[in-house]
Amino acid sequence: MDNEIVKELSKIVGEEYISTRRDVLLTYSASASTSYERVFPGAVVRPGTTEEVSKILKVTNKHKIPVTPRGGGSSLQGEVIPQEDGLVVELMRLSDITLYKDLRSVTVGAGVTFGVLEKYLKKSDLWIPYYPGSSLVATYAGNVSVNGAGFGSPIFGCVAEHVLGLEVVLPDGTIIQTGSEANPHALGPFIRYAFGPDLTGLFIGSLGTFGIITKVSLKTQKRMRFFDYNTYGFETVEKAQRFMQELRCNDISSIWVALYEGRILDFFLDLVGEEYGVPQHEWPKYTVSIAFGRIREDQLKSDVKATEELCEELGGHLIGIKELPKGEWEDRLREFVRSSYVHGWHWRILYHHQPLSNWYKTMEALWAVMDEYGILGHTAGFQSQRSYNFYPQLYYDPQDNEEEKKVIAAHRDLSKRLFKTGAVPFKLAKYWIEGISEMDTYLSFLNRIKSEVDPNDILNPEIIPKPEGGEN
Amino acid sequence: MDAKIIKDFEEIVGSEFVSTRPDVLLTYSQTASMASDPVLPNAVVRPADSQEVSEILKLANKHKITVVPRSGGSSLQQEANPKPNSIVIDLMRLGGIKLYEDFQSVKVGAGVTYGELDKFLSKQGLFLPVYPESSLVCTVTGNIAVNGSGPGSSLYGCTGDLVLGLEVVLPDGTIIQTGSEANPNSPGPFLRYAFGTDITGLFIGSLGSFGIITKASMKVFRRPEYYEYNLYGFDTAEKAEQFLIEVKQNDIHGLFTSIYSGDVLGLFWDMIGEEFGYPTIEFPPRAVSMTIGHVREDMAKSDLELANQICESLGGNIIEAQELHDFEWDGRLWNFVRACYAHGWHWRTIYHHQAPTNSHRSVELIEEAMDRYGFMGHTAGFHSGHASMNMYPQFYFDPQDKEEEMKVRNASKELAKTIFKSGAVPFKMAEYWKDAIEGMDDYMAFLKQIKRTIDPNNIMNPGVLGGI
Repeated sequence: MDNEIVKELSKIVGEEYISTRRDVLLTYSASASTSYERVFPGAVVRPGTTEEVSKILKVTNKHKIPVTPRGGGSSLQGEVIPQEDGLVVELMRLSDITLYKDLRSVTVGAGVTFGVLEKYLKKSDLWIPYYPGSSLVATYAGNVSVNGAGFGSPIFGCVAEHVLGLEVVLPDGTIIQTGSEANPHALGPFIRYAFGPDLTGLFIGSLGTFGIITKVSLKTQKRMRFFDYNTYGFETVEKAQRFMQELRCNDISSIWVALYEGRILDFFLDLVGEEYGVPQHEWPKYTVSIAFGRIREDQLKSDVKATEELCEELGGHLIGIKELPKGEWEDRLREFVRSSYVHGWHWRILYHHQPLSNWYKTMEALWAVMDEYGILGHTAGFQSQRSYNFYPQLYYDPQDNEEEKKVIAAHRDLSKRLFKTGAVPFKLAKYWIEGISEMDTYLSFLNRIKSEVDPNDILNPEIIPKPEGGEN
Repeated sequence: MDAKIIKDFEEIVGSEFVSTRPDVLLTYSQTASMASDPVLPNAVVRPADSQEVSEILKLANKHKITVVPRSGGSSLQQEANPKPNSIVIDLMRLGGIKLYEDFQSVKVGAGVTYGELDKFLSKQGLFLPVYPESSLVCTVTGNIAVNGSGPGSSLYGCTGDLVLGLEVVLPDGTIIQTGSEANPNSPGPFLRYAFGTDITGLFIGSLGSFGIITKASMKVFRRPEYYEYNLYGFDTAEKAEQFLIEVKQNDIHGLFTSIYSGDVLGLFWDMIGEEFGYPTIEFPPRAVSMTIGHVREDMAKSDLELANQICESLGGNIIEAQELHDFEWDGRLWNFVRACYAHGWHWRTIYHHQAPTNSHRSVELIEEAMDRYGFMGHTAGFHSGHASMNMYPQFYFDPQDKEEEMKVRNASKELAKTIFKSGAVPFKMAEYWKDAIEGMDDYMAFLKQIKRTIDPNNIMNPGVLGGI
């Protein structure tokens, strides 16, 4: 990167918060995404305030330098891999937390992780009942950018459902605030849908392409105190799917719901079973693992009883092994990351949502691809309100280039097959749209907004897929 | 309007669905919005489907004709009042209800009203849990365009919170589908946040200025069978507000939770008490009316018990007034509208949201304005979503008395300013907010930029977004 520009940037943030050192750039050349090629940025800058972010973007906009915003770097689909000689804007220093007890909300800077906020809110007997699998390093702002889901999502939905407003720095350096706080006189964040069109949504799942999120305002809730766990067995997939739907219909507070195929569960328990103290068991064809949580004890008891009745009505049976859901829930801040790495493979992931009643379609597609390509993999997932959030992983030995190539090809193929089943990604990674022309008008619209909001195409360029048939 | 253009419209929708007759135009020159001046459009076009809407917009865009979309016409803040030299697109012919039982969702055409949908869903034991107060005439898509709320919102939030996806015709005639159905292979609506950036939100509360919503996919829920109700009295506004926060914090399923000042309840009783045979009640300074609804009986009882305890711990008391529940919840599809008109006055409103602990400020500001300008009025509010109060003030005037009407109009203008300064927010940008908001220049500039991108010829309901 041009020395003059580095100098200009270091004037904004101070010399200690900008680096062009090779070893530092190496760190920022990749993220937790495995099987993506490293790309070295030209510099990394670490602003301390929103105003500094604004000044940085004014400089990069003037010089048309590509910018990759980055929080904890835990994203798994290549979203924060930098552009060649571009600038990484690392946001971890934006670490303020402001609690609005009366408004039942909190505002956090872009550097606040789920782990940090959890600790903070716990002191006030509050929480945000949603945890992505990488909570210890993932930031709220980053998770809003990728529109994640996780523990808590069966009831509360994806992260978007918790957002009350955002502070965003646009590519030209303008700072805007969405939600009720758009009114400078507002007491704080209390409603997202203010002032007509919901501008907040534009930045949710936007992968940093429309602006840099510098603050996130979120709904807080009183911490649940009463928990219970259980596992429920079914002989057919239709019954297991129906069971998940019925939990919703009957207002059961099931804060974690995962449906496992017997053979996948065996594999998963090989990895973590001993640690969670899960006893040996002949698992049925389909197992639903549930954690229940409530603020009041009588509510919890009522939920547990109603769930047993539902299971029985559908011809399922109570397995009675509580250690599995208990282990999953209690380990929610770190479980996913650990189990993903514990086997030593690398992998490609293909996050997507399927309607609950189409759960089996992802399983069919995945098994077919693994068989055809001769690779290992598995998929797990969890309920997220009306849908099932899958995170299939395709494994390869990081030393084996051939195998990695195979996995990359299988991954692309799988995304196309999943698209045909009606599945949807919750963020628009490029491989979803490759070879698909059926969404051209949608993509044209998105690209039109992008070219207006970011005319110099500096923010995470090339992330939004272009329509197959070219721009309208 | 050019006869050739009218002919082109006729070719699209058929001649029986285009009108330039003065009596028809008169009907469309206004909505339920009172204290606003009628504006005659040049023509009214009534398309039957999204394809026809698309053809109409292509034509309007080519000739740069101003377009005002309209459905039930029940909006109260002039959102669907025509502009000079405009055409009105009436969407009531876009019917059709499709239920996706497996996904707990439903898709409706732009002409489907809440009344019609509720009748359909109740047969399935389901409901769309937010009822705007004009439910019998109000369409679901119209309500999305104004981002309304109503009975049910205290638990489920505003209409925006219930949307899973939209079909929208953009000003250039392009038809886009948002949400999980953006995937053409999708079996139906099951997720709003699909494919990254949430485009759906752009059209929620957009007052038809970015495109015409032709279909809406909505979340539905199992219809509660068990209800409990109470009216809780408090001697201060602060205690009533605190009660409301505690109710939310403790996961009590208040479907509809309102705060009234005693005076307002008294006024209300005067208006309708006789008709409904209500007993005389002495109301305290503040009262919280709450309808609890559940799909399971034990949960409803547990909620009621806890709510009563919280009331007591805050020094409140329970008032016997089951009549109010019958009115508010059982009569949610029609009673509000009736009550608004029963007294024979006309009125203006300034819908807004206020932080719950600040809702007494709205009441104070409105009382001050009533004293200063010398007109009658009232305000109350209901809880909406996570932590907001939806306030719906009414300022009355005698429709025969022009002077009084002007007084109310002027008072409204000033109130929009003072309410904004108190930290309140509108949930939609009706045109009059333009003069009330300050310190939001960058926000408005961004909104304008989006508007320009989507609607470069500025044909869609221009000015309605706070002047944009």
